Amino acid sequence: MKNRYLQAFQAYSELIHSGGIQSIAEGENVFLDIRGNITGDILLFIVPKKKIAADDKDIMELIRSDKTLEHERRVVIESFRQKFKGLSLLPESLVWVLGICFSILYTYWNFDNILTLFSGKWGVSEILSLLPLLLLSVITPLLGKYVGFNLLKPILAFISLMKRLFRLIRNRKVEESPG
Amino acid sequence: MLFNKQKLEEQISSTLYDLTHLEINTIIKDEMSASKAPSGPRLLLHNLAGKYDQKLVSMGDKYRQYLGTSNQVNDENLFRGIRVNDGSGYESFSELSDRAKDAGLLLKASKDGNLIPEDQIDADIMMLKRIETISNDVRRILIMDGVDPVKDDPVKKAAFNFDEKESIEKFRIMTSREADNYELNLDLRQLLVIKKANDIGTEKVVLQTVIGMDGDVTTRISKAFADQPVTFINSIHQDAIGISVEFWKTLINVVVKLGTHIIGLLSPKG
Repeated sequence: MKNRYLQAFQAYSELIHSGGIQSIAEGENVFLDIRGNITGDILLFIVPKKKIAADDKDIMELIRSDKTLEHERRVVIESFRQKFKGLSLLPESLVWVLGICFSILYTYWNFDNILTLFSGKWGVSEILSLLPLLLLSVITPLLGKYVGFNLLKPILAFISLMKRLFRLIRNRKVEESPG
Repeated sequence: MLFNKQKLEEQISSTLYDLTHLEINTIIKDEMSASKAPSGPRLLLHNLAGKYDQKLVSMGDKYRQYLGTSNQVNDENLFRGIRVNDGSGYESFSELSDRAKDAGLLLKASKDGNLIPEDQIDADIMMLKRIETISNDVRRILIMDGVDPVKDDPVKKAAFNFDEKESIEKFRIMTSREADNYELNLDLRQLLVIKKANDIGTEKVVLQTVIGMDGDVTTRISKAFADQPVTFINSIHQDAIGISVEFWKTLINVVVKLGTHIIGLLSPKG
């Protein structure tokens, strides 16, 4: 668990500094550069180590002849996967905390109903009350990315504000320093 | 009023498209750039405009021997033409879009007339289409209310014209506090659009997979790659798709859990 939070910290710190997450590996002839953003879009760059006459066939040949590339692929993909896992930890944790809050409130508001349920005396109205849950399970996958993205947005806006404040403070120190 | 409604609808539909689709691109780049991409939107746009400008120039040089005409001025490039706007404001992207559109039409007509060898012409037409489309997307963002502080303020407008390179150079050497007054106010989605456009630039996309929430999966493969596929590229593209879908699934699960909690709390009391 501690490791997951460390991953999350590293991923978010990278997200703040560069606006995305990135993993790079170096083979014999080419670099692999994977970049992702918080909406899950991925850009995967394959770049020759030395600038060559820009012919697609030459670059493909460089990739084919690179013996270390398979190993590097596994390393870079695993590193990138861990960073994405780190990114998802924050909304997961938020929902976990909110879930506990909701459970406490629900228990407080429905204490009588819960007692009835445990005594086995429940009918149509209780079953109907479960319908919103069913509806939700159909709608939420359709809106999942949108809501998930918006869930991250205020957090990132806050982080970006902090970054801007930090930059202002740091720049003032540079301006005020002698020489 | 009608225009605003239309604009709003357009914005909602493009936002929904962005957020209900995953896109995985595998790109072959000619060389690794040692310099870091700028973090501010203004300089990102300037970087992008520079890449599009260079691509138009190099493609113009490439086809000049087949399509060059006698009424061209000496140093006028076939596709880029004379630079009226050399910055990265609304007018600059408008110019880039128009030039790419004209060049694309010229190439299509020449292809139909068998005037030039067919080696790479389809890929080049697609590249010109990309320059035209992204430039139009950037223009759409720049014209939105509240995005460009210079456009909305006559005093700033008199001092800065981001369609001129000099203004960009002046902006580049400002302190961050000064620069903040002229920086674009983009929301996160708009920033992601510009960042992605700059990352892809004018590089060759060999594989592109778009996954829609409705279950549609579209994979586009460049002709050059389809003719001579490389197993390694297919495998790593597949890995990237796996990671992207996994992340998406996690986000959806988080939202389902959150929704379950809320509905559980608000469902009618028996």
